[in-house]
Amino acid sequence: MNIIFLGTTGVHQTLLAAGMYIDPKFNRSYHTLSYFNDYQQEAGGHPIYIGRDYAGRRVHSLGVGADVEMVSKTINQLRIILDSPAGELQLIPIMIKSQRLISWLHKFARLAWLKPLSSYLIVLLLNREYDQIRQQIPRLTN
Amino acid sequence: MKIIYHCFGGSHSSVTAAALHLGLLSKERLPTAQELMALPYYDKTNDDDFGSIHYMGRDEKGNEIYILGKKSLGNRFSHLLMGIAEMLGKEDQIMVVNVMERVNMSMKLGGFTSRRVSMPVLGRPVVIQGTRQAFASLVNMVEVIKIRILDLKQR
Repeated sequence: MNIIFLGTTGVHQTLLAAGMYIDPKFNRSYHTLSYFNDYQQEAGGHPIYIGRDYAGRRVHSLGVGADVEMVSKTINQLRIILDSPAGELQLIPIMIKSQRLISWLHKFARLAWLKPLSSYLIVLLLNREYDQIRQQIPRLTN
Repeated sequence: MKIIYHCFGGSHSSVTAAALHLGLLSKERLPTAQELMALPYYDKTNDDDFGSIHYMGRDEKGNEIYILGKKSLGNRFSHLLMGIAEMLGKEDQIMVVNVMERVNMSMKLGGFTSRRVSMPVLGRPVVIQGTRQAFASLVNMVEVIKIRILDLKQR
């Protein structure tokens, strides 16, 4: 089974949510998250594999731009067309107030010399919304 | 195999490409406005159709042909869909084709006016003219896709 945390970008709030989900002890150590604010990774558009959860489910992060609901619909329809069972793919949207601002600040990360500033400001925003992100992570049972 | 042609609205270029693939339009001559308007979904979609994968038919080789409108997500949408297919272990069953690179300004302006602004009286003649202008390019793209499908199946 696959779990996808999806949001406007795949290298910020969704990545953080995936990290929190895999490691419940995770506590704002953003620097330990591979791909955090990684412009190249985000530009590729592929789901980003983060790791496996306690039950062996594969956990991914995915950035889909502004219309998260539309892309969720497409992914669900694609699963049906490809004849995969519903249990094979679970989508968990992560929505926060500052997601647009984060997407905008992320564009700075395209330039290597602006990436530290971009990362710093994004961490500030994520810290403010940390509890909001945590509340959106489901407790999945086997 | 499942082939998904996608463009901004899933209403003009992807529909025309899918119709060419299925033989609903002759590739030997320019389609008339009536022939284009007779195609399913051609200049008929609304906002609810964004993100919906619509079935258009089955080609002569048994491939299922679909269309999809993905707004301005660009080519990364192809990577996204292929990534999901890979995740499900079905990447060899799908081909995702971005038709936007064959879309001209008349199609963009006419399509926007007809579908987004809801003024088909103004937009439809422009998008039909644009489709006719882009037709040879769309024929070429579909022929390339058919060769790629054959190539993939022979591997």
